[in-house]
Amino acid sequence: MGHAHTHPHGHTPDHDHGHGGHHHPAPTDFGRAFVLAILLNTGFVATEFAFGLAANSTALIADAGHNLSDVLGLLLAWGAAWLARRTSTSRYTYGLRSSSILAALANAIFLLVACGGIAWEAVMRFTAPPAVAAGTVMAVAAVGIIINGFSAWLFFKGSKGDLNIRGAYLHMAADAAVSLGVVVTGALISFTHWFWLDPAISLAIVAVIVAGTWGLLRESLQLALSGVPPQLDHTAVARYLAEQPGVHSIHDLHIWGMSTTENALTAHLVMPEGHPGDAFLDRLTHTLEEEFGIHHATFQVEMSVLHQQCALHVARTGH
Amino acid sequence: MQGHFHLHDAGHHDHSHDDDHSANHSLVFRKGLPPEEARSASRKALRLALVLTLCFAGVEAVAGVMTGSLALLSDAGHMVTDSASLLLALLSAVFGNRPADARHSYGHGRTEVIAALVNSLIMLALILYIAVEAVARLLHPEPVNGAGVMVVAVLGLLVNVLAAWILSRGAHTLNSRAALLHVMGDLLGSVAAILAGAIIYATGWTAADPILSMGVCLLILRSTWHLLRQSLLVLMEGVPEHLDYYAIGRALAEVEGVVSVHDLHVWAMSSDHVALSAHLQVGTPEAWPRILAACQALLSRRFAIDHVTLQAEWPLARTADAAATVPVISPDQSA
Ligand SMILES: [Zn+2]
Ligand SMILES: [Zn+2]
Ligand SMILES: [Zn+2]
Ligand SMILES: [Zn+2]
Ligand SMILES: [Zn+2]
Ligand SMILES: [Zn+2]
Repeated sequence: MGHAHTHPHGHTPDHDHGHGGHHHPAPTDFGRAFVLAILLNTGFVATEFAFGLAANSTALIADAGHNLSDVLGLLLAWGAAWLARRTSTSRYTYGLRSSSILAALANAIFLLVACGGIAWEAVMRFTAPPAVAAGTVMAVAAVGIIINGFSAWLFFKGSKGDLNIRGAYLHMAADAAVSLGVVVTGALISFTHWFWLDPAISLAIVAVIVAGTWGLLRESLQLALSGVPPQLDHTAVARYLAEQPGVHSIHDLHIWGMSTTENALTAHLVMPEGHPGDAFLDRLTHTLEEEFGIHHATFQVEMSVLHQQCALHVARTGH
Repeated sequence: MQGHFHLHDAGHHDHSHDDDHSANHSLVFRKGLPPEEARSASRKALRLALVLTLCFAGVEAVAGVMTGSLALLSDAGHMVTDSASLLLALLSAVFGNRPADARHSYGHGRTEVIAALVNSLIMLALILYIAVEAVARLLHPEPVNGAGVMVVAVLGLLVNVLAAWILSRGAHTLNSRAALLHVMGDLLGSVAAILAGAIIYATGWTAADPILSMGVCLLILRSTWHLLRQSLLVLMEGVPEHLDYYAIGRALAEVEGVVSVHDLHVWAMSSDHVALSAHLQVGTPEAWPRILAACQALLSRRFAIDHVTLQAEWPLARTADAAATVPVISPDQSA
């Protein structure tokens, strides 16, 4: 028999061994979005820092520091998206896909820590609201709205499907919101001279960001724990598999995310009448990919009903 | 019939990976205790160490306020952060023990690995901070109260020795090893502080303090790095260090009736469970039940892998398309 030793094993269109590899719709390439956003934000950091030094404004320098951390967060997400495209090795047999999950998790944590910092600062200001130097701060914040808003827009398209991109999107959108808050408060304060408005609006913004980030944190944690990806229904998949002709029962069904965009499945099918053949498995694999978004499925066909339980489950309750 | 296990480059065929790794793996079942017992031992150790550290932090804080010693107060602060990292380890150990459910089909074992990752990152940050501080001290030496430092350091040493002893008896999971590493780092820090205090007291050479701190940093940097790599390996679904991917593939291919093996994945679901999935090309459908049983027995006995999904395929049945021959290389790669 012929073993095609083609390397790397590509997925040729006529290669109908559907489960031979991780074939997935080529994820939308956000490389350009990342480069643009990183360049814009780096430029912003430099200008903020220069103006901050010139105007001797600690607020501006502090904000430059924050934006520098944004650049790092973007680099992290970009690096993960790039690593995720690297091929598998004998050490990392799934490739480095799951780096996208860890990057999303890290970005969620960064964002929450930053929120904690802002909230702390705001609470401090309630006791002694400093007179806000409206002019320069508002001008810089206005530039911030444009840069962060534009960066957020670059990632908007991918923010629904890819958790890693959503992390970048959320952060940029949050920063645009903060800048907007600064401009609005600056304007309000110059009319009313209510200096407590500044910390109050900061706290409100923090609340909104935390609410948005919480979902990101939960979902990335679930993926990092090898949990069932949020958009997938474990019971529906189980029902689909159990309903197949010849399948007596299924057990040991596992579904997890290989990356923020690709899912994998393993399952044991009890088929007392014998192995149904390749065509059956190919059909299952294709339906799972098309209808459930599972890109990498492996099925163990068993004829006897002897072992019916996940080895993990047995290990945990074995004593 | 002898099967082939095809690798993506022939040079790897007799390349054995596992000889130098066998000593430093972290998997529980290789340490003699069954996973469940090892886990509960780890939890007990973490709980004891946490109570100990918290109590001591309280004592130090009270003593610090009463005597007005800044060294005592700041060490109390350190002990509080130690308690926090022990608490993280303990919580994740408890949480990680929860069984599988519809949203976590592998259970929650990875909680502990994430906690180990977070704790090793915190350690790295701490090492960086101490190193920067030490360099600053070298450049701008400050007067140090040698005797005061020594008193605090001796107290810290006692607590850390006790905590390290407790933890080392339960250090079976990646998670509790991370906690142990932190306490060991603190223990070495106390020893360095005692030495530095003595040297400063005797000779007045203040540079001893930062130099010794940097030495401790270097010591813990190595094990922190190792821990970080191990937890990342699990989270990135890498092949566990003590297992040889090619050896497993070859062993499967040598099972009677197996023609070839591809799409082989071996990864750790948590710090104590390894999973495997693979496609086996077999000669005839009739032989499959026997082959499956043989492969399961082999994997469990030789490699201690008990969570296995093997997909059978028949090469000869696929005559429809000559181009559709299976690329028999593993791991699969997506270009
Ligand atoms: Zn296959
Ligand atoms: Zn930001
Ligand atoms: Zn089974
Ligand atoms: Zn299972
Ligand atoms: Zn410590
Ligand atoms: Zn695969």
